[in-house]
Amino acid sequence: MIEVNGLTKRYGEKYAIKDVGFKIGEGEIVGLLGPNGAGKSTTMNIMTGYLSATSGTVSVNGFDIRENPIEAKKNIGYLPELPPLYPDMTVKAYLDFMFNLKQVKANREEHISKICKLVKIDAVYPRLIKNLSKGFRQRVGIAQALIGTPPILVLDEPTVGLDPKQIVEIRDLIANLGRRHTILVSSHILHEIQAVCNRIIIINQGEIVADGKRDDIIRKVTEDARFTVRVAGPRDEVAKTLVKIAGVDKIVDDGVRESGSNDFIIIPKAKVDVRREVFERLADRKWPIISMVSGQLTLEEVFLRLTDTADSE
Amino acid sequence: MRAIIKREFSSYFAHPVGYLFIGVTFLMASFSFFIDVFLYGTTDISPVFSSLFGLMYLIVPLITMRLLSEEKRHKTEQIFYTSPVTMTEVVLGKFFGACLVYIVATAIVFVHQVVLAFYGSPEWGLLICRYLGLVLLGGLLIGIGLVVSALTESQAVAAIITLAVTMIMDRIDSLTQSSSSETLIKITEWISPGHHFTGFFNGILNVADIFYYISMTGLLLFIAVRILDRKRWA
Repeated sequence: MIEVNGLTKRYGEKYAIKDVGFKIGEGEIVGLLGPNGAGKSTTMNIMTGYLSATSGTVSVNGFDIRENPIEAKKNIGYLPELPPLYPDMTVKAYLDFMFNLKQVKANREEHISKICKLVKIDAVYPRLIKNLSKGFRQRVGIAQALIGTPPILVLDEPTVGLDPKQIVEIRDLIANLGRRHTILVSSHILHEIQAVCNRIIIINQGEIVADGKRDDIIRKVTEDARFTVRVAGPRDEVAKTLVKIAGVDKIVDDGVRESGSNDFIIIPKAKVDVRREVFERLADRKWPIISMVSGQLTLEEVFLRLTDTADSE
Repeated sequence: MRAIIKREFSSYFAHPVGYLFIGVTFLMASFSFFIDVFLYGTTDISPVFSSLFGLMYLIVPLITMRLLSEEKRHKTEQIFYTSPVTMTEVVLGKFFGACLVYIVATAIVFVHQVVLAFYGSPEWGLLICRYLGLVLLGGLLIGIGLVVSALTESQAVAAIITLAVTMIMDRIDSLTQSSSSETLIKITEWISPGHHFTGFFNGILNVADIFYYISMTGLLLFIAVRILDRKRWA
């Protein structure tokens, strides 16, 4: 569906993006995640033909965006960071204009009314765009991208500046659209991406630092399967018992966090799951486990770690 | 392209600027018609054309200032870059959209001619010839405005620079009036839109004059397309 290869955009000496490459298959909903200024919009702008890359190629449904721009653009619906709306037009006039501009071959009224129902803008259809709230403008922006039913949707920060209720609504809408379209959606908010995307690409300072399914990325970044147990029992004896378990590499005493118990960080040998064993040994000695918490990083931590490493380089 | 022409034309009437342009043109042309033709008791409508000729240099920047600068400011230009249209279609759409407003405004001369028809038998052929010249002049002026508005985000800057350029174009042949070089005089005369308008004004359809307007306008539109295409590389 989309193939991006070695995409680089340079402004003088500064790289906006550097050697960005990924493939998106049909039906995928991919999240492009990165801090502000990471190169998300630049990447999307190049993919949709708004900017030219210094080097690299973008192929959309088999059409190169540079060599065959018209065909490539027919396959993409794009919502830029700032929805490109004419404030002096009504929603109706604007969608009509986009319908004509994209030279869509469908029944106009049917097509537009279907989109309006889908993105829920029927109520504001006859109104001037300049009088609409931000949430509705964003929806009109999405409606515009949907005109012509392009197989691919590129949505740049579709929920930015919306209130929590609107965010949930737009997120549901994207999930809904994902049934019929291949979607690339960017955001700097993890929550959003996590909720709708089945694949995540993390970009930082113009370079891709991770690409994969959510849990795969987390596993890759977390060095080991460490976890913390809180045990109500004599400290030294518990430690001795734990260290004897086959598969445990190291025990770190994490001190007392709750009276009457002690915390231990258990670092198992690579790829060994010792949680069951730990439970059984401690149960044998009648030392209850108050809690057991996985030390795996959350997506937030993974994100921070990935973007921090690159910062300190 | 038709979608852009339609949007452009109708957008003039979402703002006062379209009404203002047409209103001022009607007013000035009719004023001239009343004092120079009607009160004089003549059926010679040429003073109206002289007034319109001068007026257009001044007020065409009104209808060209927002053509591309406004798109840039509102970021709506992204629509054109990311939709399946070429920059040539965009520029031509904008150009013809503005031309339509210009044609509607200047068509007032036909109304004046009809009024005169009650009092005498005006020369329709001459009128059409002059009107053609006026429309070709409009195309050239709109072309200048289009190029300027492609270069700036500010409507005011676009209007002022366009005005400066059209005013210089208007008097470019005066530059060499005291020159002894025949070549220099020929060159400035060739550049001067007014010089080429004289033929139309006198009812002479000259291929060289038509060629001048069309080629100059074409060149300006080509430059506008290049400016837009280059922006992708910025």
